[in-house]
Amino acid sequence: MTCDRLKEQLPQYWTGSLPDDARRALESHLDTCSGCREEARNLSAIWDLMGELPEAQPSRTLAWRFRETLAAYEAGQAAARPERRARSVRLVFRLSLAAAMLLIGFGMGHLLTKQRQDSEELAALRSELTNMRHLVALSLLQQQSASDRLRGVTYSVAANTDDTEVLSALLYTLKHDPNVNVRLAAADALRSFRGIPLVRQSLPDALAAQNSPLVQIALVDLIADLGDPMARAALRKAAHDETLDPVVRDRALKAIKLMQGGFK
Amino acid sequence: MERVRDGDVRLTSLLFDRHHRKLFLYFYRLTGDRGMSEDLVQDVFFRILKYRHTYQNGKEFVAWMYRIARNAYQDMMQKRANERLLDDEAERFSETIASADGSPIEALMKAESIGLLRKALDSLPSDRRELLVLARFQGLKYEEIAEILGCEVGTVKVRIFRAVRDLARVYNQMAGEKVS
Repeated sequence: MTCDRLKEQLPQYWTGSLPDDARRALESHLDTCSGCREEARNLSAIWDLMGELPEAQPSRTLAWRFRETLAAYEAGQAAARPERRARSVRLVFRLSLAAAMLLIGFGMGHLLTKQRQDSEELAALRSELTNMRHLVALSLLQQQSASDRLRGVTYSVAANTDDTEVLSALLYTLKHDPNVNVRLAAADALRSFRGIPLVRQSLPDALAAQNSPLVQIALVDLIADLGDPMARAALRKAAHDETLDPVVRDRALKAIKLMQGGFK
Repeated sequence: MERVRDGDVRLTSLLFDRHHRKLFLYFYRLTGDRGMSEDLVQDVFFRILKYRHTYQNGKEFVAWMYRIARNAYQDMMQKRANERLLDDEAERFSETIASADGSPIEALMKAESIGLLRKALDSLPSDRRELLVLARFQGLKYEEIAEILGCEVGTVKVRIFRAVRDLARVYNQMAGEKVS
């Protein structure tokens, strides 16, 4: 076998997927051919270095976006299926209704059915509207453009929801959005939901994850408003965190003092 | 996958849980862009749902998924007129330093080598870069790569070796330029 043919097996040799006999043949060739040995050493160093490239992890929003897509897809399918069934059901229903009308009287029967349908439709419409608001807020929060994400934050507040998904998305935005203005807006938006346990529990974490003093200060104020022991612990931690901007530490200290005053 | 194809689309989430990280890494190695890679993963799973009826029984799911992934990537690239977006080098650099072990000097040197390797990888023609990603990072067997690319195993073998050799040549050249 020529040098080139043997060297073509090197990647498999490095990954350990070369069959034993081929591996032995390659090793014995490398023992005797200094040119190939040198090239194999050089290439193997590159192959190893490739393994050192840092791993990247997708963000948590990816899984969340996928589940949204899947849910929407399933909902679309479910909506399409009853439509088909509904056609035949509708025909049977019309005939039965005609017979029923003859038997029990058209007027009363129709009135009762209509009333029930109206209230059911209204409830369905309301729930659809709420879902739509959630979807719009969620979809805006994951846009590429910062101004769209800002609109998403505003929309989340307008939706006035305690929906876990919307709140989680807001909290995620607060922690991870690359734009300071969007994070600030998210902190403001969460003020309206600070009574909800999910939000209360996540705020100290969000403060620890921040790197912008502006957002840190907004969070210190927000956490101080919670006024519970967990909030005090988070503020105490911030007040003593040397890596934080002195203004932020000072703000945390003042907030603690204010809280202590309030507790007396 | 057979059950997904036959209508149990909810099971797609199992496939997602199993493969999305690997797929993300595949796109990330190709594009160097996190946001774009996430969009592409999303696109692949949407295509899996949409084209699930084209999946054939007994076929390797992973190879089928990567074929969809390649199409999604090519469509995206076409849309962007072959313009590759690369992450901010500074971000990558600090990422590398943060993940390195040993002394700060060693970490710095390692970060520099890795930065150089990234540049070398990015400057390879996309088909060679893709081969390296499939073979080195996705850990796929030659038979699987051949199925994904629609060619013979022997061709894959030759092309992967040449891609490594090209990468080494570009890397050494860049390292030489840095020294001189």
